[in-house]
Amino acid sequence: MRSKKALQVILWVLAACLTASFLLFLSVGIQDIYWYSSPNPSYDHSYYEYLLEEDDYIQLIYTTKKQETASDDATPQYDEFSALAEYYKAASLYKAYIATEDFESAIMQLNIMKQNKDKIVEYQAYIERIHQLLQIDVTYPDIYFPY
Amino acid sequence: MKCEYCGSELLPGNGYCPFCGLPVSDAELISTESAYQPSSAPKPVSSAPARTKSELKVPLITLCILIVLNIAGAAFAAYSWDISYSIREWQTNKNLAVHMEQLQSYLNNRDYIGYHLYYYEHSLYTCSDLDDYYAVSHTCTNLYNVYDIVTDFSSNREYYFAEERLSHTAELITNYVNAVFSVKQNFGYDDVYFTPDKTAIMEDVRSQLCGILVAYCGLTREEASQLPDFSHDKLYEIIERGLQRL
Repeated sequence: MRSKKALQVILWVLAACLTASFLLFLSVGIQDIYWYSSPNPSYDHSYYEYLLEEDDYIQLIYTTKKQETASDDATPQYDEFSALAEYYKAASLYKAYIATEDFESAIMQLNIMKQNKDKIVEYQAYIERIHQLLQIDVTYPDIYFPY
Repeated sequence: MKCEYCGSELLPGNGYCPFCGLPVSDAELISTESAYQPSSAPKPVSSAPARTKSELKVPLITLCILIVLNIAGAAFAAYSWDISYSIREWQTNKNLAVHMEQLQSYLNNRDYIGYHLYYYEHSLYTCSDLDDYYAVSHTCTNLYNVYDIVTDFSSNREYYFAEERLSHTAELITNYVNAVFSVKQNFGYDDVYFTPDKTAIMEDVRSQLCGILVAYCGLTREEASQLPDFSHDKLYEIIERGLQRL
């Protein structure tokens, strides 16, 4: 009689373990599906500020693009970070085109820089920082070239 | 059964002897009753295994159900990537027109880095309708990989230019640059990748890459213009020499 009772206890313990493993499988599967099918992370503006402090503009470009993918309701602050990211990208390509003396393409990048500069209000200081990092001297053109 | 006092015959269930009137002992009563019980009545001793069986039945059934659920759960977890891939494919196809318009706008603006990021963030590689752009996307991705490294030089110079890591940095850049220039060799089996407009885009990506290498990797303009003709080893040599100049 006692051995039967013990068997019963063992069976229930086994059932509890199987329940736990089933829940684990389920959560892994759901997490995977959630992660791969809708990676919609939302980044706090302090994260963007951290990236700016670290001069990690590549990550800024990547993150703003990711955020743009995730959500359409952009905040004014997000718009500024996005403009900064675009500014950096255009400035770095501007330097590349100047280096190969492709001035037409360089001016095109300069126009993109100017357009984004106008969107940056609170984080103006970082524009100068970008110039320092890329070691570029910028004079914005007065005329916009179509592109 | 007989009365232990007078020896008269007792009937089953009698508490007292009908002849002498003395009480029949409990032991005798039980043995008498059990001896005369009808066969249909439940027998206490023989019912014990049945109760044990019914007690084990519930956990055993639960266990069986859980084993089946675990097999299903393991299969679900194993195929979760395929499921999510299908979901993304469905999402991509649903917004295909928007994606194509957006990609075209990146290409028109010569924003190949933006193109790469958009292409991957929206998992457009899952969309068979965009297969024609595979070589273009591959070229843009490798341009981005080079850009990602070289623009990081200014903030992480110690990391990339450490004596023991410089050759690794050069090797990494060489692989990506080589992938951009050897795209025709790798994807030339299908003409759809190399229509005149796509070839023009890839040419422009290469010229952007050359500019990046001159501006950030220490290459001269002459070296950059000769890059398409160089073998992998020669590319490595030129890029390593360029990095050493910085």
